[in-house]
Order: sequence, then C-alpha cells, then structure tokens
Amino acid sequence: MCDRVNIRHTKERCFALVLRASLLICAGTLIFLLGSIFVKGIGAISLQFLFMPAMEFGKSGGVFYQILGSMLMVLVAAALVVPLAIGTSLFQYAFNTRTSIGYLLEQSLYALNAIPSITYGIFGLIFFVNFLNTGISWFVGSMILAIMMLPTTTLSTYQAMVAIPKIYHENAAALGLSKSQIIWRVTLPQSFHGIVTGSLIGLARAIGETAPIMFIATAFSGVSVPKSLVEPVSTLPTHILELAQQSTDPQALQNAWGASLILVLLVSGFSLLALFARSRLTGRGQK
Amino acid sequence: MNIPNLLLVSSNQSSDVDVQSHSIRLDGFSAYYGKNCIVSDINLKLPIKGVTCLVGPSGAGKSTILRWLNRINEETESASFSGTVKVLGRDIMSGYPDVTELRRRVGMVFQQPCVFPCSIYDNILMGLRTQKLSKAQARDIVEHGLKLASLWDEVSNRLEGRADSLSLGQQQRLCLARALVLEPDVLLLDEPTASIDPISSHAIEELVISLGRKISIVMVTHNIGQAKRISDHVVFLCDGKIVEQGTRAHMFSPRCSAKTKTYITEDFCDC
Repeated sequence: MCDRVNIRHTKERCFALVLRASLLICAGTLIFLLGSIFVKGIGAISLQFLFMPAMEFGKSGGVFYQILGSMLMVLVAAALVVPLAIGTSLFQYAFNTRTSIGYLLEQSLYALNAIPSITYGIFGLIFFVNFLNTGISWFVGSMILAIMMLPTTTLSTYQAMVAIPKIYHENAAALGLSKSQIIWRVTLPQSFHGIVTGSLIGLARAIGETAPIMFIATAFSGVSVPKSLVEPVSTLPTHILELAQQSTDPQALQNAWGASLILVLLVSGFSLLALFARSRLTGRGQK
Repeated sequence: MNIPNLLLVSSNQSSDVDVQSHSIRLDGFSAYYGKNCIVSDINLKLPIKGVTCLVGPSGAGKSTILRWLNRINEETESASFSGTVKVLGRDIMSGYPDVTELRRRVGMVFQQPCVFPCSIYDNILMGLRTQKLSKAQARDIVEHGLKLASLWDEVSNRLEGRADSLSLGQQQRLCLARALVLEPDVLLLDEPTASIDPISSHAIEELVISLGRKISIVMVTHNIGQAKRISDHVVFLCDGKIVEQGTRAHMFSPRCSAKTKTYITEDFCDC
C-alpha cells in the first residue's frame, strides 16, 4: 500500500518536472530572444534614431519613415479588414452556421490562416503589380496584409460571437427584437472584445511581416511620406532585412538591432493592448 | 406609446382577442426535437384572463409547450411541431408572418434571470427601442415598469447603474418589468422563481396574481405549493401528455384523479 502511494507520488513529481521543464524552455527561449534584442538594440536607441530618416542605406540616421511606413500599412490594413471580418463573422454566425457553405467558409478561414506569408506576397506581385499594373504601392501592401489578417480577425470575432450564451438571444428574441436588432443590441456589443482582440493580434502579426510586402509595397531606400496610394514606403521589417545584409559593418549591425528592438516593442505593444482589451472588455460584456 | 397600465385599467387586448374566448388554443399539438417526440397530441384551451400553471415532472414537456407559444423554440436547432397552435385567435405560423409581432404580444420570462450588460434603464427599454419615445415618456415607462415589478423603490436611485450588479431576485423582477412594458396580452413564465430567494419569489407571486386579473398568464412550475397559491387553472402533464386539467379548486381537491393526487402529495409520477 505504502509502495503504491510512493510510486504515485514519484510519478506526479516526474510529471510536474516535465511540465516545469517545458515552461522553462518556452519562457527561456522568449526571454533569451527578447533579452538579446534589448541588450544589443538599446545602444542604438536615441531621439535622433527615432525621429531621423535613414541615410546611407540605414547605416546612419534613424528609422522614422520605417516606423511611419509600418504603422501606415498596418493601420490601413486594419481599417480594410475589420468591417470585412465583422461582416463575414456575422453572416457565418447568424445565417450560415448549419449549412455546408458555412462549414466550408469556416474551414477556409482556418486554411487561410495556415498559408505561408510569402504566398500572399507572390499573389500580390502577380495579381496587383503585374496583372493590374499598380506598380510598387503601399496600398497594395496594405490590402495584402489585410487579406493576411482576415482569418485571424474573423475567427476571433466569430469565436466571440459563438461564445455568447444562447439565453441572451432568446431573451432578446422574446422581447420582439428582430434578427438585425439582436445583432446590433446583443451580438455586436457582446463580441466587441473578440473584434478588438482579433484585430490587434492580426496587427501584431502583420506589422512584423516582411515576405508579403517585400516585392509589392516597399523600397529599401529613398522613400519618405507617400503622397499617393501607388508609392512605395519603407517598413521596419524590410529595413532590418536590408541592414542585416550589411552586417559586416558594425554600425549597420547596431542599427539593425535598434530597429529590431523598436519592431519588437511595437508588436509587444499591440499584443499587450489585445490582452488588456480582452480582460477589460470580456469582463464588461459577459459579466 | 402609452404608459403600461396593466394594473391600473383594463389591459390593451385588441379586438381580435375580445371576440375569442381563449387566449391560447392547442389542437393535436405534438412537439419534437429531431425525431424525438417530446409532447404528443395535446389539446388545450387557456382562458383570456387568469393564471394557468403547467405542472408535472421534469421531461414532461411543460417548457416545450411554453416555448412554442411565442415560437421562441424556433431558435433551437432541430425543434419542430405539428398540429395547430392559436394565440389570441390567430395561428402562430400563418397568423403571425412577422414573428416579432407575436413575441411582443406574448411576453416571456425565463427560468434563469438574464439581464443585458447595460444599465437598468436601458434594459427596461430594450424591447421598445424601435419606437420613438421622448425622454420623459421613456422615463415614465421605466418607472412604471419597475413599479409593476415591485422594483422601483430598490433601484430608483441607480437607474443608470449596471443591471448585472443587481441580486438574482432583482434581476428576475427586472426581466419581468422588461416584458411588462411591452404590454403583452399573454405572459409566459418558465419557472421564474426557480433560481431566486423566497422573498423575491413571494414578490413575483404577488405580481403574477395581480396581473392574472388582467391578462392570460401561463406559468411552468415545479413548486406545487406555488401552483396552489397563484393558479386559477392547472394543467398536469406527464410523459408528454396531459394527465388532467381543471380549476385550482378541482385539481387540489380529493375529486382529482389518483395520478394527480399522487403527484401533488408525493411529488412522484408513475405515468
């Protein structure tokens, strides 16, 4: 009897040990990565670095236009994707749940989420740049990023809608509210946290992408604030790529770490905002 | 939009109700979830006014019947019915092409209090948002609804406060007030006191008795004592069929059937 208890305790300890080791590996990797970027990048950060344009292919100057380009592209992408994601989720949720088309749409969104980002870039190059002859355009880049963000934002919104307890809909329907009124008064307010979270996670993913926009929306140097929809911009990921190619130069390498740190801070900022929005809005909507 | 006056003057039952002798009529009604028949071949006539309690063991089909009376069961996957259901003289399917009209005339309060995550004020007006109300009208309606549900004294100083901060009993009375401001001709109550404390339960019972003098109330309850206190008419269901129905005096007297007597006295059904 006593032996059996000891064996059970030993098994439990081993199991807990394996779990702790998994946690340590995951957290350790993240801390090592972020720590390295922080330690190596902090030296490059200064007001001048943040607010000056890049010079000599990034070896000197700052990353002002890169930050601007990245933010412009992802914010426009978000503006394009959010209405589309809400519309798709609502259609799927309110009208299409039990149909085979609904099932197909849901599976397509999951599949779209798993497509490698370079594929989006190639699609943009073939369809927009070559076929529609748009040239290198930051707006085309935003559209491609929007397509990339679409599954994340849509699925997050849809899941938030599905999670609304059925009793809310029944109570609203029992008050004589029509389907559209239920959507406006119950579904959308209560899934708002999902829309915000999904959009911010989508933004966090999109802002760090290089491959989909490299051929269609960005230039490595000589760009400033775009004056039309069909001009290129420079973004932080493509700038880091460019600097990494000159890594034999210590100054370029230093700036690459600095730009990486800013990119990490931007991505972390969006992720933290998403976390904050989820905790605040979930509590408010579904208390 | 008039202020709800259910307890003050005669109810707003419309002309088609007046010419009917029954608020609800079920003929050969059977209800299904998928292929499972939950209630079969029910014939039932409920009066224009008064409180009708549906009693019986769990799974008897009481809530299923109730949920078809305002077609709320349409929201449930695989739910269907056969037979005829007439509410206020009109068939619930062909007579109410716009289901929202049926639901406005047939209010419903569910077992679990469910308030929307907004203010008490907005909760009361949730069903009236399509109507253009002045601020004063809206305020009057909210006050009257809350007074009807005996909640005004408790919440009058925090109407803009969140409805989900109320106690469960208060939330249930808020749900009742929310349904009453629509001035329904029929009110469906699905075990409205099942999840609240005895004091709140008593307040709701008092309210149901008062309302029953003006409109038709159909209430599902497992509480035999409650049915005895508030009902005018009792329908005893078991295993998807009506075992017996009659006035309260009949159903709670020695003249009722042996099965009813067993259920009422021992809370047991051997159907």
